[in-house]
Amino acid sequence: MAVVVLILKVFTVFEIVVMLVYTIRHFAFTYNRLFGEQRLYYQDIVDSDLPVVTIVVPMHNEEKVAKDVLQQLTTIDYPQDRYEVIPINDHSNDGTRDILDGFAERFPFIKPLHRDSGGRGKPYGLNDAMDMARGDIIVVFDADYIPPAGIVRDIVICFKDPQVGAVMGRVIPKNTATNMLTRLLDLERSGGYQVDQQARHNMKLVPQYGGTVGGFRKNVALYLGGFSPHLLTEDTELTFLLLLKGWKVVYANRAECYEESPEDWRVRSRQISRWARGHTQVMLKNLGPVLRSPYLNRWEKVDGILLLLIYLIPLIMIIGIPVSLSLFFLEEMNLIDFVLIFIVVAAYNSFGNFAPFFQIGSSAFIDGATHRIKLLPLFFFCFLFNVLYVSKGSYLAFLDVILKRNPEWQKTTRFRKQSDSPL
Amino acid sequence: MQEEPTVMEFAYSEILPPKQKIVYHKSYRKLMPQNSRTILSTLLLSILLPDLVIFLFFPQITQTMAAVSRWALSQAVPAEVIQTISREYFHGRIYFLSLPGHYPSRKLAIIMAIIFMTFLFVIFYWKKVIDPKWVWVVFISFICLVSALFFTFFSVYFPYDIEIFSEMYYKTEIGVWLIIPFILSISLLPLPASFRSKTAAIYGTLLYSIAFACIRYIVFLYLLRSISYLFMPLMFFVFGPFLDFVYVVSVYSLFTSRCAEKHKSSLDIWQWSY
Repeated sequence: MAVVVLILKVFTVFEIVVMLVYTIRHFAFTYNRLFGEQRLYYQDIVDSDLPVVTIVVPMHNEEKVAKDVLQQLTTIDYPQDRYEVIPINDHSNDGTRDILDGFAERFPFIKPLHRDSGGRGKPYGLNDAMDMARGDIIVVFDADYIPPAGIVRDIVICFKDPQVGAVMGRVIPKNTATNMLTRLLDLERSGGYQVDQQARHNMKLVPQYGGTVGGFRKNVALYLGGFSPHLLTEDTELTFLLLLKGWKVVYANRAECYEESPEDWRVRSRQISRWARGHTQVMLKNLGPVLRSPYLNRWEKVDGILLLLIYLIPLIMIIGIPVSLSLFFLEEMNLIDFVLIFIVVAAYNSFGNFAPFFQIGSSAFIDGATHRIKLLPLFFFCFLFNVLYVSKGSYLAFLDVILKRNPEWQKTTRFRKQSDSPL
Repeated sequence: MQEEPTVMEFAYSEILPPKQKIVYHKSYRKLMPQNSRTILSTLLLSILLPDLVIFLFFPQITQTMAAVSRWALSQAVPAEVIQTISREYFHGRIYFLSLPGHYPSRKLAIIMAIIFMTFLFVIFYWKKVIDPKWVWVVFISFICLVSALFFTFFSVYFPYDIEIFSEMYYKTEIGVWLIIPFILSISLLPLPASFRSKTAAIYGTLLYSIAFACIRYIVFLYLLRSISYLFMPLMFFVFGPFLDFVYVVSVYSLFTSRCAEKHKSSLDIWQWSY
């Protein structure tokens, strides 16, 4: 029994240490964003010699949103002869094909890619789109995104820097007012981009290419072997492949693009499970190479590793619940007899620490939010939900490795009411 | 005849409506740094002073709390069974109550185990776990189920009584009181609000925490005495320190929200890096 107790205590101490590391990370990022020198993006570069760009929009049964994104892409502020749009109809069986063909008839720079055979999923689609793309730079928007007119120029301009391999723009939910979930996701997005990504950009760490509003160099992506069709987060994979080969990933906080957040918890649960599963796949593949990489400095390695491990935290927490319960029933909660404050730290860390709230609150403040900030305590409400479904995703990723199986791509359900085509 | 809108006009009117007001861009704005005097004052008056007060006077605080709890409980429980106990802790003593609790009978433990097991089965069968409130219900039910199973099979090994629980509760709460000034200070420090208002928020939260800890303690002891020890894990894991952090976050969010509302049109609190 003594050995069991020792293992349980060691696990609890491990959990506390991990949580403290992430707490320090959150506070460091937030303070950097609040007071540190803000590293500018490349938006001040004015150059008429813009590269040829291919805008890719992967779609699978996207009839609810396809018109809006394509409509916006017809108004893009970019030289007409220097860009094309490839909407990928990936095995759709709704009206997506007709919408794409309708736009293609009117706008010659819209060149739909109809994929009716071969594997389904975003990586497959992106690989096929790269084969037919004319552009040197690939800009990707998810189908539910509504890109403003200037965003392509903003995204592309960073590639004037030869070291930049990929860029990520900022995601802003458009359907914020729909319900409590969308309001909370708006705050969460604010924390993730306004503070987390921008601080990592400021500190020259590892901003993440998110694959929903961003761009990358086509020749580099092809050189790296294209996108692995068996990975659920091909964007995170690209981030690390680029870093491991010495390219930089940058973050464009100014390149804001609207998205549609999930409006019900079932869709949200699937979304975060998929992210966690894909992220864990990438973690298992890249943890060693990041540690050994000659191109990354010490802090980039630290940040890269923390980023890779971040989706394991909920799994550690969920294991921590029965561990804490066991210690409770064994009367072993006093990890260090004379410092009972340790109990508090343990309990506090087990149930989520304050740092993410500080990060989200600060980002909302910078964003000019007012009453929305009062919703912060409600994150406690979805805390266990996130822990459960992220853990499920990470667990499935480990199971995929053990059973040598390839997960299938899952599309996020859309909620937008069908808008009439303006054309 | 009304003119047909251009594609651009249509797109922007339908999908991205034009903004009524163009505000300064928020992408690279940051707050004015706090001066060293404010930082020092925060360190001394908002962190060190309250922590010192808690650390030096926790014997008196716990003694008062124990007295209040004793008085409140004596309204429902015979006063002669309530004892005030004191134990050495750091430089002084902490005071808490001890009274006979209520062990669940085996029958009750089995019934509760069956109820929570059935409940969990029904929730999973109906796939209700896609809703956060049901995830919480599952979590609470799981803790109760584990507790019920423990009391069904290992009742004699249950290591706690009200006295041990009280000691653990008080020591945990002292830890919470020590952490609150630290967490709130470093979170409120960056905000463009007066030092006085931030300090008031911190001390107010601390006072609330002490009062709330006392009220919660009375309720816990009453439940442990009148219902059973079966729910003690729930008190520790759900309604213990976790609940403390909920109101700490609430104070932070209210303060930040008010501050944001006050400064929503001000430019002088911001710096732009370009």
